[in-house]
Amino acid sequence: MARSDFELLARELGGDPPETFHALPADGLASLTAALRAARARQKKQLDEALTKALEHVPALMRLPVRKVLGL
Amino acid sequence: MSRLARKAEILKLARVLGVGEADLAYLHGSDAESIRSFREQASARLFDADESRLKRVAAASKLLPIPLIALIAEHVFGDVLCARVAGLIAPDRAADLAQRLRVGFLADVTLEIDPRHVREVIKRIPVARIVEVGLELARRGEFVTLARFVDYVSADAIKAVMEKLTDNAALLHIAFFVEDKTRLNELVGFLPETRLREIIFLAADESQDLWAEALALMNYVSPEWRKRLGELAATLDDGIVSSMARSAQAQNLWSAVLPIVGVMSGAHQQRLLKLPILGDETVLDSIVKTVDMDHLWNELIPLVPMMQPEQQRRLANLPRLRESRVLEAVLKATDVNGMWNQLLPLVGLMDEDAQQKLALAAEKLSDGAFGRVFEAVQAGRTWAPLLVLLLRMREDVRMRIAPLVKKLSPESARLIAQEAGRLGVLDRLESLWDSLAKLR
Repeated sequence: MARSDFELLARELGGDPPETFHALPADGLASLTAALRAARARQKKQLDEALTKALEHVPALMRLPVRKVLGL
Repeated sequence: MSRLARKAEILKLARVLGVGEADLAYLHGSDAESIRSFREQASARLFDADESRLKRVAAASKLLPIPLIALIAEHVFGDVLCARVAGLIAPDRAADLAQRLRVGFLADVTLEIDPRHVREVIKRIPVARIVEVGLELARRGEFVTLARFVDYVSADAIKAVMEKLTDNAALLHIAFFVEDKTRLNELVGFLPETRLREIIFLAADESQDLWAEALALMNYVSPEWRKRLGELAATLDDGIVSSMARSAQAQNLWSAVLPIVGVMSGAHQQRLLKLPILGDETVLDSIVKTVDMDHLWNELIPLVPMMQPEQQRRLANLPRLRESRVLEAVLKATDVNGMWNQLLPLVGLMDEDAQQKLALAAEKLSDGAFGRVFEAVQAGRTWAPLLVLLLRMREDVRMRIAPLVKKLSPESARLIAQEAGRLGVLDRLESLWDSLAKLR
């Protein structure tokens, strides 16, 4: 069964949104889900870029172990 | 008021999600508390992600001296990574680091940070540094971020920022977004009266479009401060309060204005009610519409006796006040708040149709409510409006009231008879309530 827009938002949020959000229009819920997903992706990209940039300053021989330590 | 609170919350959520206010237009039907709750969940979702990875970065930073970390932070890590790591390193080291970063970069980090995670760090940052960053954020117009930090920064630091931040519009914008509204009492207390006046003058400059923010501030503060700020506005020239009323009408802000007027002294209320704009039927209808939507009858009804007679007549005959649902709400609020003597005089100003509609709605009052009406009118000694209404009610309702008439004092019975005689309805009343004749 397809998930409802509310459930999709809950999944993106990692928990149930406020009960009153059940009353939001379906395209509103979908739009919130998309905005949150985009914000999370944007933040992850910024962090990855910052950490990768940081690695450029680590001596070449050390990069692999440091990358492992930082989970990159 | 709920509308302004919702607007502030939508703007804050837009900031968290990195979208425009217009993109969240579908939230305009939601309540502010739900939007706030969702924003906190979304912030936690964003800020708590990748914590294990970031802890390793924080742990690695322990190995390096602070001056070197400051260099790396600014030139290599960047604002987003620094903001996420700041709460994971020892608060003393983080505060030391904050002292060594450029103000502009620290402001960048502040924009990305979740203050809940750096509470201990903020406590350790010297006031002078907080002032520098605060002024930089204000210069950039980052009012949402500044407001988020108000909950976490010491009173001394806030006071110092407010003294240096001479832009009153910025202060109003920040206050609009502050999370813990109770803190605003303390903040307003930091401002000398001359500056409070300047802020009100600024709000009244309609080119600035700041009445929404100013009214929100006046509503968020305690009733004592609300009274003081409201009266400060009222003591300024009529142009100021007229500007407030024009903005309230144009931006649908009456729900924010009425609680302020409600705590003013009687003299100030009267002065305000005499403004020509408040005699306009369209404006009166907007006020009643807002009062009905936001359940503010207890704010409006006490003002009715202070209105001009023509203003009262226009109010009493508004088409909106002929709808049974609205009238029932008016009667319920009047009863709950014990305001019968303020409301009933309007009956004499109503046309026959409006009187009939009010009588129909009043027929639904409980016996207890009728009892309270009689008690209030007996104390107020003005029976004519009630008699007019009672004579428009169905006979069975009037019979239901007969026991209340029996309990009236002889003096009240005489007053009723006098009024009924003046209205030419004494015979009708006495045939209905034989106890009335016996009593007098």
